[in-house]
Amino acid sequence: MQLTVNNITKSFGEKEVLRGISLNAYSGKALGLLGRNGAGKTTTIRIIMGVFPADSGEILVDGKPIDRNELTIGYLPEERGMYPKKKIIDQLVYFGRLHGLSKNDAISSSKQWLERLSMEEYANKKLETLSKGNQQKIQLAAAVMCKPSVVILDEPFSGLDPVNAMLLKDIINELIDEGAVVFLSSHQMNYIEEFCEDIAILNGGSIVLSGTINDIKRSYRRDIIVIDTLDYKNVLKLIFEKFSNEIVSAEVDKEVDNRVKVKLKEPSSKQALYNLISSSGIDIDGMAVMQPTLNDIFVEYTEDKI
Amino acid sequence: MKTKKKSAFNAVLGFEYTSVIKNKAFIISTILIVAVLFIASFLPVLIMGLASSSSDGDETEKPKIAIVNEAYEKDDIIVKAMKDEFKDYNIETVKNEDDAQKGVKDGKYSFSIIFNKPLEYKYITLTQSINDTTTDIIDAVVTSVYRTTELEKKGISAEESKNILSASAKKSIVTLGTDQTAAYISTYILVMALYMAILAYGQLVANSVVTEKSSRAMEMLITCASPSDLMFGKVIGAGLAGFTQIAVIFGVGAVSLPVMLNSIPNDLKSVFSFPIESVIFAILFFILAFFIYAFVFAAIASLVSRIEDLSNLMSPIMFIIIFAFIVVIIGMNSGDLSSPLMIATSYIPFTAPISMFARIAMSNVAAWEIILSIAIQVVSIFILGKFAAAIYRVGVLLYGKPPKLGEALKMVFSKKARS
Repeated sequence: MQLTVNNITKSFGEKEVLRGISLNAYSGKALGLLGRNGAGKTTTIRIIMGVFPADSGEILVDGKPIDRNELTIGYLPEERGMYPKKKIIDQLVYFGRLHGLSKNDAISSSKQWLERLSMEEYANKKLETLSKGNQQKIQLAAAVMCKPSVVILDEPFSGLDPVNAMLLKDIINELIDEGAVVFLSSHQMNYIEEFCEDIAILNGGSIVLSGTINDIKRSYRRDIIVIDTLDYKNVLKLIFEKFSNEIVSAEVDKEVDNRVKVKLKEPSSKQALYNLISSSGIDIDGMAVMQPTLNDIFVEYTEDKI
Repeated sequence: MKTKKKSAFNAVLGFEYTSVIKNKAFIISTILIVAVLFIASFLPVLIMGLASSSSDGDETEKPKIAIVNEAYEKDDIIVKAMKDEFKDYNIETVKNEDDAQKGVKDGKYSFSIIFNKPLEYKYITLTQSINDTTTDIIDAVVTSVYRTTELEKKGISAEESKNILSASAKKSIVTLGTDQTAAYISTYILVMALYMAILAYGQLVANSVVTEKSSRAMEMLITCASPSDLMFGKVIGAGLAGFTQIAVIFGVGAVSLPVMLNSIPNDLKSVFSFPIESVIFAILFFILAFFIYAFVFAAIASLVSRIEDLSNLMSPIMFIIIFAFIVVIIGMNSGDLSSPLMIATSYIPFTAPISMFARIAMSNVAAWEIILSIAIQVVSIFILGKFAAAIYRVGVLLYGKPPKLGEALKMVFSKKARS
């Protein structure tokens, strides 16, 4: 299944919130939806879900206009909350039924999910008696218990402890393996890198960057070389003596111990640098082109805009 | 394709219905009303039972009244007249005022009467309460004894004079329309119940909408059900819960009211009997009023994101309900239920349920008037429902400061125009 968002625009009153968003998401893959607060992520998600229509543009499933009566969409909103004063099992059954499950299916599915989350003993407790993290788990269950073909998770990891984060990772991987189209929106880039092959960065209502993470990273100038060595002083000395014409700068990395960071004038001189160092006889642990982190990319594309 | 939609509406309806039914305040209020009904129904039986058992007691246990006769030669006329009026007392004659006063002070007598002259007396009592009617009775005794003795002097026997004096007109009232005096209390109770039910259920719907918004459950709900399914499911679910409550209350009333009617004196019966037509109209108008107000309350509540902001936006509509109630109560008290104001309010959708009901229960209203009023209300319900759904669609995702009603309407229409 392929879900296509085709050039959608949306304004609220005078404010233009989306200025032509286009996206492609596929079954069995997760798409990372990135953007600063107010970039238009939630509006995009709501239009995909049919909460309100786009002013122009279309949502297609396998090339045909989306039919939300046939497609189930599970959604974990960023603003968390269900009914604080109602029993957990009642709420799960309710959301299951709203997603079109029969009463019996909703009950059995709710029980399965409580078991899966190891929260069976809370079934008859009120939601408000649970910790924030546990409430979030219940809400996740409510979103995905109907086995949706499209899953949209907005900041699913915020507020979870490492053990619960592991549990959530398993669940997300399962959803992907089962062939769901997964949208993952988060400011925690490590999670995006872990699950998503593709990302789209929104800024000011437009997509400023989209594609596979690998392609994006590879498209960057590969002009920074990192050299890991315990003998970094001699490496630096060597570079300044024999290679200073080819570099912009060379310095000890402030963030990683025993690492030298070299910025080349031209990426093509990388091989010459490798040869120089390997023939010098200095003990080297490793040399590589430095990849930009997703964080660097995000900041570069969204800074000073909005 | 339609099945999913329908199941969403059914799910909302079922969820809202059980939420209300399981609500503590709802259960407690139902139990309280039923308990009050029960007590009110069986209280007369209990009171009568106690009263009859106490009157079986000894003659000597009766409180005593002392009288001093200085007005007439013989005591017997006055003693007899006193005995006739104060059946629950023993009447004792004492020699003089001092003895009488002493006796009252000591608590031997409840009170004492000194008949100084044929038309003059002195009432001696320890405490004079505001609603003491003793003197009114004595007044009657004094005048009747005076008249009898004076007429006797003119040769008319006590028996004859009594017949002449006690002669009075016999009346029988034939009511061709509605008997207002008989209908007043039952109508009052039903109008009051209508008014309170409208307020309580409107508030219930409004609170439930705002709670969904403030807890942010709406964020998820809105993605798996359409706003109109959510609103209609909620309103109709709460409505069904309301009808359940009414069914319970009227069910208990139907059983317990006959018990009460059997135990109270005949002249009170008409006051407390609820004519079956009135009850049916009350239920019908509650259903109409419920939907008229529930849609308005739901729409207003959807614009609010915190429960604290609710009362501000609700006050205009509250004012209308209170206005309707006051108009009807004034109309009922004046007895003029066909005043222009009453007639006008019985066709305005927001006031019609209470106003038309009172008119039907307490006066004669032509069938076409009733049908017209109900038709206006039914049409209003459809219009308000559509309107409320449109506001709801915009309102539920608004957070922060609630918009003014005008702004909200502007949003609704601008949105409609575009989509």
